[in-house]
Amino acid sequence: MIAFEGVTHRYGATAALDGIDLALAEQELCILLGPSGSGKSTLLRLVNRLLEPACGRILVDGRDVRSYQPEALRRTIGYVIQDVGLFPHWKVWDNVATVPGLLGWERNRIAGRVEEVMDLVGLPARTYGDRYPHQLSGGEAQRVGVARALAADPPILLMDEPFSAVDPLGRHRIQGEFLEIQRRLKKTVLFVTHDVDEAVRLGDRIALLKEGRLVQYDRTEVLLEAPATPFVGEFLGLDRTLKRLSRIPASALARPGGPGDGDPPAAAALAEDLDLRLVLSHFLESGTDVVPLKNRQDRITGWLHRQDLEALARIGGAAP
Amino acid sequence: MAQAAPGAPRIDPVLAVLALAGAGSAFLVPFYQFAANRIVGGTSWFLIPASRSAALGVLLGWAGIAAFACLPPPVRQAAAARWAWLLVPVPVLAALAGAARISWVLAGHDAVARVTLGPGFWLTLLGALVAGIALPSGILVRALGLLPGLGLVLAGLSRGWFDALSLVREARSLGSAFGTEFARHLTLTGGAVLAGTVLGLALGLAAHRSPGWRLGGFFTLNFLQTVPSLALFGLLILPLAWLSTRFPALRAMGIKGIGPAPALIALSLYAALPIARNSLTALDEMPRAVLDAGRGMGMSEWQLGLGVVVPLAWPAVLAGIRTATVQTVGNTVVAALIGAGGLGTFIFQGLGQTAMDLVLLGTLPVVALALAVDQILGVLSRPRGTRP
Repeated sequence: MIAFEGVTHRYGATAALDGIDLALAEQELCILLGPSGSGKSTLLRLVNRLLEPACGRILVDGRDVRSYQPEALRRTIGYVIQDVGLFPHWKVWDNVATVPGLLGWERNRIAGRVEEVMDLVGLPARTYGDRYPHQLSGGEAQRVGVARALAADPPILLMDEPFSAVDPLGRHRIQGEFLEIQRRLKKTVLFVTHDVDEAVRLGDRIALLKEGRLVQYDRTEVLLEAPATPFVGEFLGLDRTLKRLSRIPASALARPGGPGDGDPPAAAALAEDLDLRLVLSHFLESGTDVVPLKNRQDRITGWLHRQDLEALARIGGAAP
Repeated sequence: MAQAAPGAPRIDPVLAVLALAGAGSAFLVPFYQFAANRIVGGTSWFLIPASRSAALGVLLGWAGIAAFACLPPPVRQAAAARWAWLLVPVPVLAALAGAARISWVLAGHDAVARVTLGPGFWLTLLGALVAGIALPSGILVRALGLLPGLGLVLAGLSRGWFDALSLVREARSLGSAFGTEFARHLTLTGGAVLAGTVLGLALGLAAHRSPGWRLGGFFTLNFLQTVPSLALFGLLILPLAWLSTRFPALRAMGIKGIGPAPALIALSLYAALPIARNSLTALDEMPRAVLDAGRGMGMSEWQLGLGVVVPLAWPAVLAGIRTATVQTVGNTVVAALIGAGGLGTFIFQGLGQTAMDLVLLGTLPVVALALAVDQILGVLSRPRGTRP
């Protein structure tokens, strides 16, 4: 869907990007991670031709982006940025309708689509459509930003630190909501962030950049398990094993049959969709070695053993 | 606007002082002066012996405003309180009615004797002006308050009610010259603002795009602003005179060292500065994220310019045009000195003849014009419930 081939970009004499080769898998969310100045935003802006590379080429759908007319290309790619950039003199409804309007959709189709995407981000058009951007909270404004990017149903989304300006609590919520949306819509997403937790939570794959070079590009689990260089390990943090566990649901390690006879009361069981980091925390706190898991209907579905968790946590431990 | 400010004083101090001062000045300072002809000095008259009914009207107007100032703050701030603005024209209309009565009596007796409006009258007018700003109001209320009074005055003028007023006598003796110069004043101001707007917008845009223009362009305009207008007119005489003798085509177009051409050039340069500065600020402060998002969504530069940049910059640009226009209305007065005409003609004639009424005849329309332009452009630049 998106591929970079030997892409170099310069600001004046300094190279912001140096020979980047990167191919994105379709319908996956790829994180561009790195410290500030690593060139991740630059890489993103090359895709919709807000910037042009000094050499190398960028392919979208197998075609060099230079073969598209820039405006036409951008209308087929959703674009979300940190400061949202809603038009302050347009109502929320008109902001969301921007790209369909540019594409010349007919009125009824636009109206239907605006309602659809606003419902998708949890801001019903009836309530929010007539508001002006200054009447929205930071989190609401960014939801509108996401709705606007999705309005014309583009197959590709470019997101440049979209949730960084939202307060921490709101950020966690909006990340969860976006993950839900992504599971349903399966867009090909290029997502820039400098926040490792966000990257681990959202990314199917992570491309780690440093000073304009690609250091490692792998599935998130692989990156956490086997950092290619000391820099990668350091950047991901000493707790990268916990981060790896945070991506795996408890149900992945469930075994049938418990230690005793009969089922324990549901109150003692943990929800099976909790992540393994929280289960580990439970083990540390309770001192037990095994815990029952329950589904949403409070039915016991299996048992999780501490030794399985520890085996998985050990580097090189078998991934489920 | 209608919300009660928590710390609102029990009595509105501005309005209370204004009403007291207004009423006081109307009765403690001479209101009209009589003179037997244009040359001799006049005798001063106070409002009370001159016209008791006018005195009553003036007093009632100010008493009404004083009473409004003493109302409880929530009542003063209620939406209906703007109707109190209708009190503002009352003292002025009463004072004018008094002037009309005296003038009418006098006109029957003597063809050269005249009534001059004295300091008391002008203080009443000034007080009403300030009260008009201090009182809450809306466009509708202002129109309702001003238009009937204006109509009455115009009707009175055409029917000769004010014929013995020295202002009217001076205007009559000028004949059609008044209308001609008034129209010329409007033309000069309008032309200069138009040219200044084009120049200012172009410079604002150029300065936004290139640091060279930002430095050079604004240095030049700022420098010109420090040159007194009269000196600038003078400085333009020489090059324009040279051009005019050198190129007959220019002379045929009426371009000479003196007259409207140098005036228009100088006035346009003065008018350009506030417009250029405001448009530059508006462009500089355009939120980057908005432009980035617009481009990233696939808007062309034209769509971005007309759909986003112009509407967002418009209020600031219009505010610049407003400043420039008000300023140009006043600056145009000086243009009379280099033969460009306009209302300044009467002011300088009057100064030469120590005929203060002639000076007033030039000054009053300029003041009225500046106020009117300020009000109209102020209404136009009001934002429509959006904030960038």
